[in-house]
Amino acid sequence: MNVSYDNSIEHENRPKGLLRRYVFSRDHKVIGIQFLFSTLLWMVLGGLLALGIRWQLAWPWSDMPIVGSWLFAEQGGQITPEFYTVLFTMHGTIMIFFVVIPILSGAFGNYLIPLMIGARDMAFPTLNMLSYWLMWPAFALMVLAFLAPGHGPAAGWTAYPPLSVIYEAAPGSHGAQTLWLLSLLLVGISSMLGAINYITTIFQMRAPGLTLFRMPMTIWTLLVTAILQAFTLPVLTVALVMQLADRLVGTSFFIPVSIAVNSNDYSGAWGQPLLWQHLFWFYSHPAVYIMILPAMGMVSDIICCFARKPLFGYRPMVYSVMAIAVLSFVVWGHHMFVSGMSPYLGMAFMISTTLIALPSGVKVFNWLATLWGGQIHFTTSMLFCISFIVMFVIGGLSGVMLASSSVDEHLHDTHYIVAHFHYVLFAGTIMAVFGCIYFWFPKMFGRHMHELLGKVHFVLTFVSLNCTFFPMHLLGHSGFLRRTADPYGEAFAHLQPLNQFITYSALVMGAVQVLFLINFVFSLCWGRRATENPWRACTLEWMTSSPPPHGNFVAIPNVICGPHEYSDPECEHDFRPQGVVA
Amino acid sequence: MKWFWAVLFLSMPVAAVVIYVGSAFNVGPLESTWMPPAMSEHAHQIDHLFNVFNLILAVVLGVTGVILFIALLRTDLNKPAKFVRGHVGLELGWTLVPAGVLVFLAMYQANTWRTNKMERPVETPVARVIARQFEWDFYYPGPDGLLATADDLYSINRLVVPVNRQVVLELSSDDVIHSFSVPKLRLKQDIVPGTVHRVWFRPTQIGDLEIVCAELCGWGHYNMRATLSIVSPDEYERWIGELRATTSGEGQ
Repeated sequence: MNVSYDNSIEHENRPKGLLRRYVFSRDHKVIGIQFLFSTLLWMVLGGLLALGIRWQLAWPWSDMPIVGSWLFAEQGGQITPEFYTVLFTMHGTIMIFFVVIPILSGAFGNYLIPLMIGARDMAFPTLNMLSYWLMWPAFALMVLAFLAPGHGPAAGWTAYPPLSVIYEAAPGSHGAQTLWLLSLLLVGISSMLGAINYITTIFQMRAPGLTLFRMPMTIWTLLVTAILQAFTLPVLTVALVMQLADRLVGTSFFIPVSIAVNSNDYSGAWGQPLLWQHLFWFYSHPAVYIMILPAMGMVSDIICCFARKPLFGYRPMVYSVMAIAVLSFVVWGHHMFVSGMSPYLGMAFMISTTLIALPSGVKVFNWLATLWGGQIHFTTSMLFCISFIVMFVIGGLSGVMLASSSVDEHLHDTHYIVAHFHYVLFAGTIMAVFGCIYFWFPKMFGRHMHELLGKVHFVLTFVSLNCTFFPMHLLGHSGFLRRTADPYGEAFAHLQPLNQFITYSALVMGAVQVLFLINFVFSLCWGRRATENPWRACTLEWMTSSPPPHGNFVAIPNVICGPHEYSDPECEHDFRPQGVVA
Repeated sequence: MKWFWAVLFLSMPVAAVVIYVGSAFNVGPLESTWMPPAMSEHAHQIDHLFNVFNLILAVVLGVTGVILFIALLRTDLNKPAKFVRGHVGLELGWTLVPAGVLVFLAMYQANTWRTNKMERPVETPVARVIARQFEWDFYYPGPDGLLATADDLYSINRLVVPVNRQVVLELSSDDVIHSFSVPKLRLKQDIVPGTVHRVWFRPTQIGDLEIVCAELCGWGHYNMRATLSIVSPDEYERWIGELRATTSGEGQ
């Protein structure tokens, strides 16, 4: 486990030239920041798409103000039903594959892993660079998909065949869907390169004394996430290739026997559409944990720092992360309770899904116990992290409801699902990501973000996100469906005022994020200078300058204790740094 | 300042519980935001599960919210934090108790799923439902009394079934995946092309219900709706008679 290669040589080998230092860099810190900037940009685009969806649901078929006239000139400023399907397909795809997964594993994973384990860089720096630069062709293909015939893929982010496979089934099923598949194929390869790199780095390159059970929770969760990716991504890749083959070379893995779409006969086919759903969810359910576990890990480390307490139950926390990971492989069928899969399987998946709430619950109780009796500093970062816990409880509990196959029969494909996963992914992960940005910004850029502006951003986001997502639970159990351009009819007409309230809240929430962008950009240039360890935190990344030099550490520290040694009465200060430099 | 943050974080769980109570009891602006009226036995069973679950979830939400509230209020910047690493008893407690609750929840609901999904009824189907972009076609047995024969009677976008009788439907799709969903029956079944699915229910009230497609099936997905009329047995016979008069064996 010791670092075996000669560190000093690497340290002096700082690449010359702007292009090699900041663009095609092999430095994990630069790559992490590149991931951060790209994902934040995509978050803006994904958010705007969401506002388009909300506009249509609040005021169906009415002219969109300001932007409508040039976006939808042919339809007189309205969103068409075709474009509406593109909106939610692209919103989901972008937020999941270009924002949440790469911001956690790509941005924070890259930036934090070597620093937190006391390494000078990743095990495979070139592979690391490649994993970022593979994202760019993926970005380009996704943008091209918007311009392809049909103006964007329109089969939902889940891309269920035959809708996604047969050209005649939807306007977006022409070239756009092919570009979508190719784009995700590249994202998958990028994630795979990252995952291999993270696993190798964490197992091989930890500083002397950093045993597995002295690792920060951030590292534990990133390790488990990388293992999840390594085991599930091949399945997604295979499924994507099979769908591509169905579309391009005339196979029929997913095209069923004798169907006719828009009077085009597909009688030669002999496939099974449900196979896609099994393969897709075999990746995409573990992916849900790929999208939350690193947030849980980072939140664990940050609340310890600002509560000035060791993490309550460190080992149970590690074991619960492992339990979540193992169980996540056997719960995918809960996405398919009403799919036509055998009801006997439905029963099995109901039980496994109900049980996965257990390790998540253990984590919540341990966080609460960590806060209990702490000396809590309400920094902006801490506020976001505490809100993560509160919001995750709501998202987790609605998950227990949805685990029930019987109740899910009513709630499936309604806005209850939308509420549930936005509580986990937006109110949970993205709020945690904000907390992490406020926390590690000083390390990344050597300057602090503005605290007061940050707190205003926090309060407004917290209130507006709850106003946006909580009412969706009510819409959902009223039977209000997702993915419908105009769901009202007679049965749901009374829900329109509630939808308008949600849209107003979403607009506020979108506008509030401008505060964050302003804070981010201004702090980059004029923020208060950060010292080496401004939060008086224990972990290794705070034992080097802010920002750290190329090669991270002047001398690699020796690790002497666990990651959360706060307020030990035997210690002179209220924290004990994890490492000492000999 | 800690008061402000503690109250802010408590406000959300409290608001959640208040909104849910308001919705369940149809208070003011939250009127008709609960489950739609239940019109079959199956729907009543699901509503029962939904209510029991909500009670338990509300307790968990309230308890965690209050614990966090107290933890935030008790903090004092002038006092050092307690140096504790964990507690075996507590860990065991909050592992075993939730495990018991979750096992209870799984067992409590299992029977509903078994009776409604795993035990297929013996009755022959009342009608065939064929979904395609973007309409619902309903076929009834013709004079020969058999489904899927040349003399089937058909109706587009209107399905009529008798009340208080086990209704079995046979579902299939001509093109992509659709989903036969009737919110007031709490019924939802995806229709995978190439597969014939069965659903069954026993309606308990007379009325017109909305059938919606719940699985994205293309640009016209939102418009794929039909009416399910639950009628008295007499009315049902009259409807079949009318169908016989208007369709003359043009079915599949």
